[in-house]
Amino acid sequence: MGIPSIASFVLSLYNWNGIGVAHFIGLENFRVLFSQDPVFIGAIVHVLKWTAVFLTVPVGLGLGAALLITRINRFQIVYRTILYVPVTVASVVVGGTWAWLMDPIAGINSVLQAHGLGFMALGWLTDPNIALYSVMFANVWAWWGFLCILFLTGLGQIDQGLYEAARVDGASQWTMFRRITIPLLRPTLVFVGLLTTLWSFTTFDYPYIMTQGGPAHASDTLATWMYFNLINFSRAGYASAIAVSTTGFLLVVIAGYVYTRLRGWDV
Amino acid sequence: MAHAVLLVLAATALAPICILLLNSLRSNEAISGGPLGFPSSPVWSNYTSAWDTAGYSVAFRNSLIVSASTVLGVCTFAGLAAYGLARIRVRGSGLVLVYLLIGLTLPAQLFLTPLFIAWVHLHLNNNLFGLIFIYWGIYMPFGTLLLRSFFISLSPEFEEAARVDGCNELQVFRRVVVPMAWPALVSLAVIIAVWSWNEFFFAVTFLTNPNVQTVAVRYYRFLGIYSSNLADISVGGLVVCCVPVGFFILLQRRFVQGLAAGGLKG
Repeated sequence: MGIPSIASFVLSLYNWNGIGVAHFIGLENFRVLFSQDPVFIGAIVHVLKWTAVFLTVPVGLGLGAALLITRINRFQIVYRTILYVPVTVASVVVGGTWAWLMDPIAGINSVLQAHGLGFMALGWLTDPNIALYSVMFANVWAWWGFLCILFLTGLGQIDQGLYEAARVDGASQWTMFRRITIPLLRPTLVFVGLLTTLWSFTTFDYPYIMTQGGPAHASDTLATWMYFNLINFSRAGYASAIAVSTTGFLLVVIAGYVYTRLRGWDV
Repeated sequence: MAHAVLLVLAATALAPICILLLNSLRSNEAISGGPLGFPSSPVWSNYTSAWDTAGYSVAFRNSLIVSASTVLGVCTFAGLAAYGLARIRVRGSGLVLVYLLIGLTLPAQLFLTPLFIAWVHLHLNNNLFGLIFIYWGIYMPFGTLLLRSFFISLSPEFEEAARVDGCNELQVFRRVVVPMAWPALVSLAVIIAVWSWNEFFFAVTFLTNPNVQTVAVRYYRFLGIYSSNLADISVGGLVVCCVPVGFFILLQRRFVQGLAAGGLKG
């Protein structure tokens, strides 16, 4: 695994189509990337939006559902199993199915219009302003069950005696949540945060399957843009530059995480 | 109240799959009229047409080969490596641990460019073993870390007893440790089986020849080419789903245990 990463870095310094002779062009790829490539800059923005959404929506859903499951007495395993099923469905099928449901003609829109809800029939994957969010929706649908399981496990490790003692002391639900649940869940939350951020930066499957990065690059991510440059345009050096830049961003995130650990945040 | 919310969430989780199920039995004309609806009369021939003419039978076989080999390889190599890391005091084990953690957090797609070029030069690109080899590399960090944290939690007394009885290290591993580690191995096997079955990024890049494509890639190609044959697409989706979903529902306890152990301790 070390060899490909070094090779990636070296390749980014060349102008190569993968077959012929490589021309050494130094940091030219990076210069073009950051100053003359609007798709790249757009991809960075999309990835940041992706991270922001995925740090809030699935986490909220997963944590909320996990808390509800711990509150009920029966069917816990049933709910846990059902809510996780979407996670086991392949990204192609999730993306493909939602893309079909969001199809302007054959999808949900026809049902909405037939029932007089035509105003809700938006251009889910055709409107550049909402395409990215539609793709995110499909991914959230297939992802939040995983967080639910993680949170359930984390919640299960909290000593119930703490809640008993707090209740005796007259604490409200909200106080118990704030002072017991959240602090003891912090390692899980931080782990989820790190994982979400890293995977958001490199998300590929859903934008590629549902919109191919379109319409007009409105849903391109760092990974899809790298992929197109490698496979469709045969610009191996340029694609490597994108990969190296993405790795750079990830290392910044990881460095931040390591820094907070070293500072004794005890996560 | 909690039940009400959970029921709604459960319904949203299952709805798309139910739609796939229903649509797999409807005719193409019915589906193009609207995505939601019950089959007026079940069109069972959708299944045979998808299986034979759409080539899902070949893809299914390919996926089985890839997943089974990946699981066997990862369990074996990760098991040996994890045991070594957990038990044997070697100078560089701290570094190896850091290397594995980096391997876990840095997504593998960043290595696609040189990997793709290398694989093409080695003619491993339309080769199932070439893909399996990549999968071993991708899933090894997770497997090793998961099994390592499990081995650390095992009490060393049994291994000591076996050593006293005259077993060498490999025999200790085979006869004492592996049986004890069985639950963790099953968890790992189930997780890796589902991940390798569903894996798309590397599969779609390297498998361009239809004869070697896995179900995930086949389904994707189908979306593009036969986009009007919605019934076959629905069946295809179910074919891709059935193994992981089935696996999960049957073995979900092991699945959850494995995820929790591998995820949280990381």
